[in-house]
Amino acid sequence: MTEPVLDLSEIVGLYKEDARRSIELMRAAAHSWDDVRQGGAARIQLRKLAHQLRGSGRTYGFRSVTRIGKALEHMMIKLQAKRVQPDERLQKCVTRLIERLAITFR
Amino acid sequence: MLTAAYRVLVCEDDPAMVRIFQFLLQKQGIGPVFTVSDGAKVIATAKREKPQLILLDLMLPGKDGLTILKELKASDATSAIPVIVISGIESKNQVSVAIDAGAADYVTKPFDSMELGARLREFLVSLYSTSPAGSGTPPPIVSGGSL
Repeated sequence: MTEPVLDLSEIVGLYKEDARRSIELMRAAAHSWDDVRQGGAARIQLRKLAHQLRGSGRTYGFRSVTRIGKALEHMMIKLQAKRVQPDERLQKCVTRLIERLAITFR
Repeated sequence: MLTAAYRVLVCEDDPAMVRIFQFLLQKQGIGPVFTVSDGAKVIATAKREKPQLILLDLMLPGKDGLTILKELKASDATSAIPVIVISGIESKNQVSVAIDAGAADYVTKPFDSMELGARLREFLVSLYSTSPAGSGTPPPIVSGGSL
């Protein structure tokens, strides 16, 4: 007997729309890098959205979203703890991860 | 499918997670489902809607989940309502703190939707087969961790 599977197809389309909106907000936050550097709203936004995508990704069947969201969230946590510098290298890394998320929902 | 109505309050600020809770609870025949996204409104909503189960995210705007949990357990009007914490915070210490504060269970996001739905149904059935609706404290079903 096969395990029953919860068919999420009814709500996955809405999830993709939510995720695309979140990715746009993350892009905007990453573009406001001075605010990220100074610990402002953009940094808080990036951490919050990364945390949410980490939690929702695999729940909706998108394992890579959880993986990338977790990496982004950890970067923001390290930044908050001053274990990494908010330099250009970090900005590029954050931007690259956001674009990898975007590819998932293209 | 459950034959009785079970009122569930979902406290979550991520619309994607709210939607999946509503979906999986509906698929299990559990409802009505009430939602609140502002931590500062959880206590008032719980008192008004009198849910038989609360699903509580720990990172809500307005008020943090642990404070909400402690307030729910400190109030005569809400102390008997079982609270399952559903959080993206994976730390074992956090699980322990939540259970000590009165959580009936701690589920880590991301989770398996099918399994969580089935476990919530089992939880409600076990709760109301051992005590009248809305009274008593249900036995904890797990000690925490990810589904």
